[in-house]
Amino acid sequence: MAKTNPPFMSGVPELLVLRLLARNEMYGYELVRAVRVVTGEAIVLGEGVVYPALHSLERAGALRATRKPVNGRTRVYYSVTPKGLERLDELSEDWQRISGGINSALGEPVNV
Amino acid sequence: MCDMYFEQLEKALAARGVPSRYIDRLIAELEDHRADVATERPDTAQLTAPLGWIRSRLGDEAAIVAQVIARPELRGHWSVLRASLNALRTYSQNWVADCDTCAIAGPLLVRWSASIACGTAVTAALLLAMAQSIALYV
Repeated sequence: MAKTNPPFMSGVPELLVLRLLARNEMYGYELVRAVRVVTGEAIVLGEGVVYPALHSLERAGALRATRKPVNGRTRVYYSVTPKGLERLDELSEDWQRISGGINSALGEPVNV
Repeated sequence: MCDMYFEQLEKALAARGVPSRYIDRLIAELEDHRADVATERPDTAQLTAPLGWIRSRLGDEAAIVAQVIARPELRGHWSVLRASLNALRTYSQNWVADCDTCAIAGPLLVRWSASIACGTAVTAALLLAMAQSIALYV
């Protein structure tokens, strides 16, 4: 089982949430499950702590929340706004740069 | 048991001065999430599931509170003032109960101590509110 929230995960949940919601609108439970599936269970978001992250992105204007009645319950669906797509581009570029650097460092011999 | 989890979470958030409107929204979404988990695994996720089970799925109340508190945009501008007023309200309720006990027991000194403690708490809360107001505008 993957660990939730290891120390180097800063910014990763935001990136994954925006990436998945850019494809389809989802509600919280669906999103947590999707993160688990698309990362091959390498990343497991804390199920309860994902909501403050979603609400924070919504306040920042990166997400839009829509309430829909489903089976007698009201579900909150989240989708990405144009501002959220811009943020996703920024985070993706940062991630590519950092992961490229780390991979390069890991591939190099230790003697520098 | 699940009700206890949500009640404790609600109290913990209110004690930290998180706006009640946001608390209601968060609890509603967490309850909805719990219902989805129960649908997915009806064998292990009964509505009367033990507290340990819901904590293992949704996370410890303290972890959720920490996530909310870490985001100023969620806890609101007046969280310290709200937390102070909540503490003061709780203290006042306890003080009234103490005074009832004092009236029965009769020792004047205990009543004086309670009054002084209450006065100190009011002063501290006002000073804290003033400090936060100043900090917001500086």
